[in-house]
Parts: sequence; C-alpha cells; structure tokens
Amino acid sequence: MNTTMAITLVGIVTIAVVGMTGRRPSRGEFGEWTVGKRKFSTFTTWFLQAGEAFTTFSFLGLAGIAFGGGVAAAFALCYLSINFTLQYFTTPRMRELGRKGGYLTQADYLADRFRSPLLGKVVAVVGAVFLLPYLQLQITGLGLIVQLATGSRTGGNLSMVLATVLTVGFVLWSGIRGIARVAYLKDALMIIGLVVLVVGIALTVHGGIGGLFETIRNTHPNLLTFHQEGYDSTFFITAVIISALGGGLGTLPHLWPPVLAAGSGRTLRSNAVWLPLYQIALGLPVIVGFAGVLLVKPGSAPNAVALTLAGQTLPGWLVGVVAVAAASAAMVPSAAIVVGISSLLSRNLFSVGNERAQLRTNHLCVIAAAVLALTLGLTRPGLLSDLLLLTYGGLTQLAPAIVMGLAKKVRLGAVPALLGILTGVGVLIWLTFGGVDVGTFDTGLIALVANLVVTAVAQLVAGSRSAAPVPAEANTPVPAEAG
Amino acid sequence: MRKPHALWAVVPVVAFLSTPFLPFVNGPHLWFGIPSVLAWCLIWTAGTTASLALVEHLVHHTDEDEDEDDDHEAHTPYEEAAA
Repeated sequence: MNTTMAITLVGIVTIAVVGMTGRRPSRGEFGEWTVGKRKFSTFTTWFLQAGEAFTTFSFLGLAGIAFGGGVAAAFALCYLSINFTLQYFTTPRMRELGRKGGYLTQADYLADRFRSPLLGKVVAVVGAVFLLPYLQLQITGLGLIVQLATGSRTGGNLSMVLATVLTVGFVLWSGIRGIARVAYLKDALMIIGLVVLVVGIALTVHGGIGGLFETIRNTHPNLLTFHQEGYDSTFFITAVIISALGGGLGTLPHLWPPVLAAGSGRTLRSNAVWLPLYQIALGLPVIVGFAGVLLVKPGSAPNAVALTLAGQTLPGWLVGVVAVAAASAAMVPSAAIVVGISSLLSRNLFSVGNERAQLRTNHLCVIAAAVLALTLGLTRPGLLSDLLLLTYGGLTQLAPAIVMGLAKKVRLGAVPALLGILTGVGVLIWLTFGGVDVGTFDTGLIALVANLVVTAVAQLVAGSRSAAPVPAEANTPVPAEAG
Repeated sequence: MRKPHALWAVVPVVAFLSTPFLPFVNGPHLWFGIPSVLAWCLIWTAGTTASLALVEHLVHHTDEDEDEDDDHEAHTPYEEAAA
C-alpha cells in the first residue's frame, strides 16, 4: 500500500468517526434523527445547505466541463447564485410550514398542503427513484477519485465499499447531526484540497495562472466563449434556469431536512444572503479544468482531469490529502441523499404507524438504498446512468406544486398538481429516451412547460366543475399513514 | 414583504442570464488575468450577496422569524397523529 492510498483510507475512516461524534442522546424518534429539534444554528445550517454545492461534481465534473467546454463551466456559479436568491424567499416559508405541520420530508409538505396522501406517495416514489442514481453517482465518483489518486482499481473498489459502509454507519448512528458534523470537516478539506491543487498548477505552468489563461487565449480562444460544441449559449441559459429552479424551489428531497431543521427563518435568509460568496470557491475547479487543457493529454476523460493534474503536480502525500477532500465531497452528499430516500420511503410510502417504528423501517431503507447503489456501482455502473439524466429535470417537475403550496391558501387542486407532475416526468422520459433531438436545450425545461400547461388546464377544468376545496394554512394536517 | 425592495434580488439574475449575449463578456477576453465570462460570473456571484443583503436591510419581515427557541411548536398535530 503506497502513501497516497494509506492517507486516503485513514481519511475516509476519520470522516466517519467525526460523523459518529455528532450523535446526541435521544428517545429514538424519527423526527430527532431527521431534523434534530428544529433548532439548528446559522452556522450548522450553513454547512448543511452548502453541502449540495460542494460535491464530487465540484471536484470532478466542473473541472471536466471546463476541460471540454471552457467557460460554460461557469454555469455552476450562476445557477447556485440564483438558487440562493430563490431560497431567500422560499425556505423561510417552507420551514414555517414544516414547523407548524410537523413535516419531516418534502412529501409530508405536499401531502399536507394539498390534503392528498396519494400525492405524497407519488412524490415519495418519484423522489426515491430519481435520487437513487444520484446516490450511485456519489459512490462511483468516490471510487473513481481513489482509483485516479492511487492508480489502483482494486483500491477504488475497496474505498467504495469502505466509504459506503462507514457512511451508512454514521448516518444510522447520528442522523442529521452526524451529517452536519462531517459537513464542517468536508468543506474545510475541500477548500484546502482545491487551493493546494491550484497552487500546484500555478507553480507548474509557465507564468502562473495569468500565463495559463494567456496561453489558452492564444491557442484555444473558443474555450473563452460559448462557442463549444454541446456547451453553447442555449446550454448555458437552459441549464442555469433548470438547475436554479431545481435547487431554489425545493424540488430535491434531500435538501429539505436542513431547511426543516433550521432554528428560524432568519437563519435561512442569512445563509441565503451569504452562501453565494462561498460559491466563489467553485472558480477553483474551473481554473483546474483550464489547466488540464495545457497539461493533460488531449482526449483524456474529462472527469479524470482534476486528479490527473494532482498526480502530475503534487507529491504523493498531498495527492492523498486532495483525495480525502474529494472523498469527503462524496460521503457527505451520499449521507444526505440516503436520508432523503429512506425518509421518503419509510414515512410517506410505507406509512409506518409510529415514530419509533418509522425509525426502524427507515434504518432498513437506509441500508437497502446504500447496498443497492453500491452493488450497482460495482457491478453495473452504467445501469442507472440513463436515469441520472432524469434526476434534475425529473425532480424539477415538482416545482409548480411546491410553489403553489407555499401560498397562504393553496389554490391548486391535488389532481391538477398530480397530472402536471406525471405529464412533466412523462415528457422528460420521452425526450430523453425517445430519440427526440432538442439540441442543447435542457429537456427538463421543455417538460416543465408541458407540466405547467397541463396543470393550468386541469385546474381550469376542475375549477369550472366545482369549487375546489381550499385548505387554509391552519387546517389540521393529514397524517402520512392515512390512505 | 414589500415587493419593490425584493426587485433588487432580480438584478444579478438578469446579469447571469444575459452573460452569453453581452459581447464585452462573451469573447476571448481576459479580465484580471482570468476569462471575462468567469470574472463576470464571479463578480455577480458576489453581487448576489450584495443584492440579497440590500433586500434584507430594506425589507421589514413580519412573518415567523422570531421563533428561534420555540421548539414546543415542533410537536404538531401531524406528529401527534403519527405517534
């Protein structure tokens, strides 16, 4: 075992141990495990909310897009900033409703606001199905990171198994508090890892970072504009819009627990104000991707650029540090996603009777989801990759219902909302797998238009046939297990 | 929340979405030694914080914000029904 591998494995174990320390004595209730006591501070909520921005995608994907598509990679900065702008207005209201209604999941919110347990179940299924490939992406991403850092495929697979087992362990033991604890460490590691990498590149390239971009301007000027194949202006605009709507309107189920656990609306607004500044760090992987254009063999796999550069520019032990940082960027989102999937299934789909039984069922769902994602990641890594294409676009189809549910009185019926969601998901599947050529236009956005049209028409029809029930905010919520 | 103040939050959104259509941004230019598109997006990322801070400063919130320690409210009919 070389130094890099040893540091990586020790780092993965350390991350899990830190997660274990997040546990607080509790009565074994599902609510405590999922959202704590809904009193999380601004500091804790900050790192939980920031978690989604710093993932394996930040390490591998952004550098890869910059490597192949140049400045189009800046779309991540744009969509995350717009995402936080939307969150400034939406998350305090979600938290307020969650506190009053005792919501633990996104599906709780929709089932209650629309007074439709069926809608809650459908949303739970949609959420779990679309999150599973996202979980697998994090696990296989971790394996790739370790494989690239150490040069060992066996080491990559071993790390996938080890990290998954340890992540499940600390999630079951500590719940959201464990994720919060690891999130602090992860963000510190990621910033250190990226800065180390950029400094290594600056010392390697003639003329430093300035010299790097002057060379790029002279040799690959198209990379500085939106004139790359597959990464044109249409890609940029539509990807920014759909990703910003997806995050900012609460369509990703695993992002609900941090919002519901926040101590106040002020906490969430404060984070929405300042979190965009934190995203400036995402400029670092973009710079790394550009460096790859000059330093990495043309035709290399885009996702491998960041760690290939680490191997070329840094000593072995520092590559290990970068690998641990990247591994943490996979483990924390994995933990949040697995909580998102399991809570949707145990609370909203299986509708287990009481909180303690929900917690037991939930723990089984955590293990099942993680084992399934790991097994597929090891044996059939391509199986869920198609489904991954649908993750963001598919979950964004929940946006119209979520937004309408924020109103003081919900004026949209459950049936029109459900029809809209099903239409959006159906259109997305057709566009993605039906061989329809839409160029670089984001298919999720097209599906969202269809979703909105069907929702509006169905609501008009329903409204003309009868005065739809309009649940007031103070109405008694519908228990998850009812129906 | 008074809507006119909230409009300040729209300014960075417009700036981001206009990025490909601004010739002085979308071209082979370098600003501060980095690509102009990247610099533009970084500037408006910081601008987002500025605009939201301005909204936060101007808007008087009358909603649920003062419930920091109110964890008793967490035990609601929803949870009681489930228990």
